Amino acid sequence: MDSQTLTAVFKRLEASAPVVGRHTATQRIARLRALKKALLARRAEALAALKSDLNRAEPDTDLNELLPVTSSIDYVVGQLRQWMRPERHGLPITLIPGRAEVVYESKGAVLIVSPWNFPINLCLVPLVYAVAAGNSVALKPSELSPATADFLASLIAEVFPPEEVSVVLGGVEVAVGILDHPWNHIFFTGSPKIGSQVMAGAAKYLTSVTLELGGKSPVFLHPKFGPEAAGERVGWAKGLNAGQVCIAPDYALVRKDQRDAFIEGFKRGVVKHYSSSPSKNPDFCRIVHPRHWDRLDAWFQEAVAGGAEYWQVDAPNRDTCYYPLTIVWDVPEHMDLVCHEIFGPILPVKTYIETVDGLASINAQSRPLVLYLLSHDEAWSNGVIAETRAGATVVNDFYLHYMHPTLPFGGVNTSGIGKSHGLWGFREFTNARSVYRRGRWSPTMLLAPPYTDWKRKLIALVAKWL
Amino acid sequence: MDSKSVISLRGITRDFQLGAQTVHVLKGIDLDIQKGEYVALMGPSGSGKSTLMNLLGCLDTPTGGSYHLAGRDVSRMDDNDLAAVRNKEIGFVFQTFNLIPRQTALQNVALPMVYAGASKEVRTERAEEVLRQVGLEDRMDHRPNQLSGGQRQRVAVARALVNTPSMILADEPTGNLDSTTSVEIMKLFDDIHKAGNTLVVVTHEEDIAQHAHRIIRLRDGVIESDTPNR
Ligand SMILES: Nc1ncnc2c1ncn2[C@@H]1O[C@H](COP(=O)(O)OP(=O)(O)O)[C@@H](O)[C@H]1O
Ligand SMILES: [Mg+2]
Repeated sequence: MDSQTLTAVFKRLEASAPVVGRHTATQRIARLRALKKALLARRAEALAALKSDLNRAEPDTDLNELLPVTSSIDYVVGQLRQWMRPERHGLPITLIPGRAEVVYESKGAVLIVSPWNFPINLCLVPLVYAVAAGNSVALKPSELSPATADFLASLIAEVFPPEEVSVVLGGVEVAVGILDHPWNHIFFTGSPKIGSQVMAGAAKYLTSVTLELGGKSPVFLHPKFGPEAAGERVGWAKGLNAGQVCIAPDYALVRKDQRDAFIEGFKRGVVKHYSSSPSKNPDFCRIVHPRHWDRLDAWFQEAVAGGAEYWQVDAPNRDTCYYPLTIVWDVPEHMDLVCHEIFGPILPVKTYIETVDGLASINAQSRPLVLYLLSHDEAWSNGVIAETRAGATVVNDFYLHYMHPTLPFGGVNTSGIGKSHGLWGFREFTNARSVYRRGRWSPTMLLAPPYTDWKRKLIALVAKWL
Repeated sequence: MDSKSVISLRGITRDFQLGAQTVHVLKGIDLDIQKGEYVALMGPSGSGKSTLMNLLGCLDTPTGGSYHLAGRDVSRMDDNDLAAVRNKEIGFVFQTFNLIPRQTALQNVALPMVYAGASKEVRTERAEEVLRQVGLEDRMDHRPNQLSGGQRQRVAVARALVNTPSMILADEPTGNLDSTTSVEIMKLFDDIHKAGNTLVVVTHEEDIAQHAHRIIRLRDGVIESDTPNR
């Protein structure tokens, strides 16, 4: 799409935003239901698109792409009338008589830019909230998942008229082009690096942003949890979408004496859940693009050349974009594998001696999207939560905070700005507008200048007592 | 038990449970290490080096036998007491250094003293002292990424020394270093040893072990040989 087309898309959505903003709860709900219906009716196409883009197994697409969208719609449909109702607030004595409320009005024309790793989920879930909030929306899916992007364009065109929701297709130039407009809000999911560019671009127009980013999410293992059981679970968690998940555990932090047992557990977990040759397992995800495969392999090779040891379940294969689940230890600290988000099936293991050392090493990195704890010691977990900052913490499992309908989802600083899901997601796409109404008689005028003697006394009294 | 022993092990065993099966990894270790000794712990892979080191480092407790560290029986201590003993008596040196990236060498070295509850002046003074000892007096304000591999390992050694522990425990300290830097670090270990510290170095490299004054070789969970070196 050229820049004229992009400008036309923006103008169209901007022009229709007031109309869309007037949609009643019933109208918004009807659109969301239609979206759900169409998505389910075209499930086979969705499965095929994900298979083609990422070699995603059908159950994984059902669970991680379609279910989050349909369950979000169900939840939003049940809550929307309540969410849209103006929120009455009580009055301090100085504001009586009067009435105060918050109106959650639509922001207007909004842009959603989504990544390739969960290309339906991360496009349509934000859309659900944007539509629920009464916005006109441009969607920009990732060009790295082209089959899904085409599917989404056709699905959206079936459900929404173009002045309500439009899909914009293309690569980086299109993304840059569509971002460079005075949107009323931008919702971006992707890497911290691009997130920073998106925010810089938005700053030009003072457009508000939601940034769903990532970073290195640690797994911090309590010494009494059992290192083998822990390794097994991490082996499973790291394999989901071949580690290409923003909330994937990035690295493990294990007490020094337990490292070997943890590694053994990891190997067992990998074989148990993905077999001893996942390259032949049709359900195991591929790396999205040779570029990412090269990056992963370069980081891995650098670590090995630097003296790191490793175990790989089977051999990498660039031709099929297959990268095996890999565990690496004794990685020199300045290397890419331990400094940058991996976003792939490689797990470095770091060690600590005392909990405080573990905390220091977590706090030395950017604030993670998730801090995973494996611990049956509640006091320890509470201590770690209190001493760190993260977008979320899950204790003794992986990913599940994402599934909770009312917990806010998002990062902090480099792992993200703003929250989504549930009421948080709805509010992210609205402007919380304060409305205060005075009655016919306003006592404010009693305090207005000129300050006669009795007014001065009255104001002194007010200042003292109210 | 010799009263001058920093470490005294008697009949140490360590079993692991693998399903229904009991694996006997350490099968009766007797060992005394005196204050000021420099010991290398060697052995083929699977011989029990790491298991023994975890016990020596008070990260694990034995299945049987006794372990006295600096005169105290640590073999039956609970986790809190063990942590206190570790902090006071043992300076760990990691293969991967485990430095905090955004902090200066000085801050990294002072960190264990924060946990020990020392005042800022005391911490800074002591951290400067040990950094001078490892030859980094002109690198105190550098962050790890501004230091070479050898210099980072020196910071790690200084950090291990800062609480004046009874013993320095180094696990493959040169594993991530090229050979020139390894030589440099082993020279540093020699100096630290000359200054009166007790060193236990776990390594699989013969030329690293040759720096020690005593070499203990493990095989199949027992001490195969224990010989003075030069
Ligand atoms: N937690 C454990 N559970 C079962 N076996 C273990 C455990 N830790 C170590 N072992 C076994 O004990 C033996 C000695 O291991 P280790 O002390 O790591 O030797 P080294 O460090 O000399 O290679 C190995 O056979 C290892 O598999
Ligand atoms: Mg070992």
